[in-house]
Amino acid sequence: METFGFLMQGFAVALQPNYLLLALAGCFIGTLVGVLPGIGPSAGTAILLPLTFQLEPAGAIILLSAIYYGAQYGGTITSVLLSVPGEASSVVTCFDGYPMAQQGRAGSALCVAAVGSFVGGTVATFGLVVAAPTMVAIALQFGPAEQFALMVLGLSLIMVLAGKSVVKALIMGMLGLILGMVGMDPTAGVPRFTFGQMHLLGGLDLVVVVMGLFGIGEILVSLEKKAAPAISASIRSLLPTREEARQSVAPIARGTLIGFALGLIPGMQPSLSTFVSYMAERRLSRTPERFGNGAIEGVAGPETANNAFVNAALIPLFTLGIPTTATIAVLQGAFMMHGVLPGPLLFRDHPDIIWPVIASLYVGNALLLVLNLPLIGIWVSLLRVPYALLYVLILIFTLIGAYSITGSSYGVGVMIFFGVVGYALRKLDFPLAPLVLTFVLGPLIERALRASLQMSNGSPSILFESWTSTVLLVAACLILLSSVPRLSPVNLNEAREDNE
Amino acid sequence: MAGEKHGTTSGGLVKTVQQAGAIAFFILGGFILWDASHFRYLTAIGPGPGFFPVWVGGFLVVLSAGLFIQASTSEATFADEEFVPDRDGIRRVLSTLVALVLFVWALERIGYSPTAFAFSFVLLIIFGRTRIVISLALSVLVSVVLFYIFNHLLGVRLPSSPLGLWPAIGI
Amino acid sequence: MRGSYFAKLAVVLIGATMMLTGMASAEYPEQGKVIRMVVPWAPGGSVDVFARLMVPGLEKELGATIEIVNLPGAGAQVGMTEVARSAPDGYTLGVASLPGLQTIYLDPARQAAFNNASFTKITLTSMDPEAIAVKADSPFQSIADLAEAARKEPGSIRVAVGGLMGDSHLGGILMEKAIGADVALVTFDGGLTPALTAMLGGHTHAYVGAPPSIAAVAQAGDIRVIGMMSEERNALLPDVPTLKELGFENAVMGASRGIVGPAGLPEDIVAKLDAAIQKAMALPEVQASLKNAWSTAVVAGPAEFQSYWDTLDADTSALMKEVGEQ
Repeated sequence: METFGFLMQGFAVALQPNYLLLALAGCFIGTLVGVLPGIGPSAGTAILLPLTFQLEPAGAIILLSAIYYGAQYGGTITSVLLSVPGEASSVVTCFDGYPMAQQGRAGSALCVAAVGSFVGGTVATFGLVVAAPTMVAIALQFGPAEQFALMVLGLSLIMVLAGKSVVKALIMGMLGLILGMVGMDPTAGVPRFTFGQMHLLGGLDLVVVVMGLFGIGEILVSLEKKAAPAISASIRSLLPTREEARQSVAPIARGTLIGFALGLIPGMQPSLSTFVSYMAERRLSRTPERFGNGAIEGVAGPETANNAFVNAALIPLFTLGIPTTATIAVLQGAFMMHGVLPGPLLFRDHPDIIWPVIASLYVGNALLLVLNLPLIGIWVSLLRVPYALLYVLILIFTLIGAYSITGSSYGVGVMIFFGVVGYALRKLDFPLAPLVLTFVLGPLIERALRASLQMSNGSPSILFESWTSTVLLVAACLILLSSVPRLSPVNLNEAREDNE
Repeated sequence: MAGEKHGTTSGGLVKTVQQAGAIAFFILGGFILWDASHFRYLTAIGPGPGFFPVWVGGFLVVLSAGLFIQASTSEATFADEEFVPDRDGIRRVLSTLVALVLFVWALERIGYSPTAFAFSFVLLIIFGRTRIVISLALSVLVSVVLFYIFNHLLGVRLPSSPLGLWPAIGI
Repeated sequence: MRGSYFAKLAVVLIGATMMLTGMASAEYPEQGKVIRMVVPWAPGGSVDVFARLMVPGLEKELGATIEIVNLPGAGAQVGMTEVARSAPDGYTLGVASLPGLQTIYLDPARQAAFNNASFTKITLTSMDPEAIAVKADSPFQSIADLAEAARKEPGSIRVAVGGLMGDSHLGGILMEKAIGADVALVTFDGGLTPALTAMLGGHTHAYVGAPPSIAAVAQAGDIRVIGMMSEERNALLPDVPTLKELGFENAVMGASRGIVGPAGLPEDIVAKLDAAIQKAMALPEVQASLKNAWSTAVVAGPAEFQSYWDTLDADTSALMKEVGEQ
């Protein structure tokens, strides 16, 4: 079919040395940017945007896209090695990736993450080539009501994250909802919980909160003990064992599907794909108690979902000109600056740009793998840095990161506040995962509900108007109901005992 | 499996702390409820700004009450000895916190470089790197070099310093 | 000896005086000083792209380096607060979007730290009227169709608009009033993109937004523009009737953009900036990219900009009072 022919032509261009170099540079820069906490793909691409003026359109987009998916992997590195998530989508990787590193299996985690990212990204790009318009048409069916239902479903899975104490997990969920409500409310634009602080009018930045809770919080906890035994654990091997590889296959497959589906649906965030994948893996696993202690599925799934999401999210941009995340908006800006309007006419009017870009997505995902696998050894050896210096560096980088995101020392102060909160919560043995999940989902759910009700002039029946939303809501109810037994007094007692 | 493993002490301190935590959340929930009462609960079309806060605050109050009961009646999660860090640990944690707060205070007042320099130097010493020269060198690296990298290469505008020498070397 | 001493003193004094006066009236912009242009939105958005397109030309005209600083937050409130608080020395500028910015300070609940008087208006750069669009296969071919359907079943017609009290939302409100029937306005917090997505998915019947937001899909024929909320027909979409033509009064709304500085900017600096910006806007590559993005360049100097702003202030204020809090 002719698409294939175009794609081949695209490859012919994308594999030329200069474009290859650009893709490689992008992967490298992206990984570096991802490693630096707080300087996420959005900032990274924006920074280089002016420089890409010098390049012609295809080259510019190739470079920026490579930074985009490269940054996803960069965030993984710090999550696994240091439990410091560089951005929201890396948070989930901390849960099992860091324990793996503590057990000396950091190389394995990073390797599986790299392979998973490659698979997820490549399959997503394949989907882009083969069935973009169909996919988009299906995705567009998800209006506010359907988005609401989907997110409620996501929320219902929160019980999966509950672990030992259900009550504590629920409290964290509530706290996350509260934090998500800080700022202007979507209905009437009145400020909520801002205490008159202008800086809080825009709400709390997820990355800042996450860096505080996980990054600084984790460091404060580690500082209690003299040496950092976790970090100086010997590295067993840089590659996963046969067993680990076998265990990763299914999560990678599921992660690809989850990431791809969510990447297409309007209104989703990359971090949600990691959460859904993690929760799905935990739910489906026959040994869920391994999660949180270094289960490789907890790394394989989310990392794959991440990259699948990121590549799938390019589809609405290319086919409709609609950017679904902030970073993709930067890509759209890059197109516009070169006089190219991404949208339905992109394939017709600028095949010489879009096909090399798409081909380069394949190439770039492969390059990312090739680039990062050998580097795993180097990244892991970072752990040998004396812990005093390491902690100081981490603190400085997160401080810089917070400043770069928020543009003022107020934001840095917010992060430190959450660092203290994170420290306190860890000491009190509260699980942080539910907090992050509701923090992300809460505002989205509120907005989706409000938009739905505006469409129906206040009638809740709109939530059941379409099959999609009805099915999703029913599923959510079922999942919640199936979790209820855990709340019974009998089980609560058992849970308490399990706490030991 | 329950009682024997952890803490021969009944975990008095830990228990108290857990209870305090529950109380803190209880108060937070109450505050949310109170604050939410100032917003409209329902608007013509649907939930108003006060809708979700009321429910969340309410749940939080109920849940934290439950947590309090749980904390009071169950075994401690870990022993007192494990909960409270040793003197060095306390020293490290507290000084880090103080350093962080001072960093924020000083960042925009005296600029990134001196602040970062002081921050890293002090913490390096406290964390155990007692060789002064090396710590100094590393602190310079952290402050000056990173400033250049971030400002000029990455376009992240870190505040420059109006103090003394620093403007002279262009920071 | 004394003579030469005095001579030297005189030379030193004269030289010092020259230096001091030279410094006092140093040429704006000074060599080596960077001008910050604050874009109060995230990178990649239409305002950001516009700034990035215009800045290279402006740099050449001014002979200075301009750095674009993105300070998103609270719908431009954070960024514009920063501009208002900066020193009026010409080294901090901002891109203001109206009437969005005005709805911020006209609403007491927003606790804005700025108002009309906090900014020096330098140059107006563009005015994009709201466009009303439907899907290409929609049963509604014209505004009249929409109006009729709305009158038959009030509240059944769903119209997607952008953020609360933004230009798109205000446009929707005006359209509703002009039609004289109830429609269900659906506001989308994330801006025009989710609004457009919702319409494309068939979840709303129509969409109100400035042309740049629909350029890609409209040019491809996936959606049809059935009305413009402007005084006269828009040059970029000459076949689209204005609501005025169709008999709907008081249905003019659009998004305008201009460059501003903090209040109290010296006149000579303003004049210099205005001249440079207007020249940069006239550059062929800037004109071409604006046209490509379906953005209408309208250029006006400080005085005109100020009076336009004042009028818009009054109109927006009146509209907001009517609407009240929903």
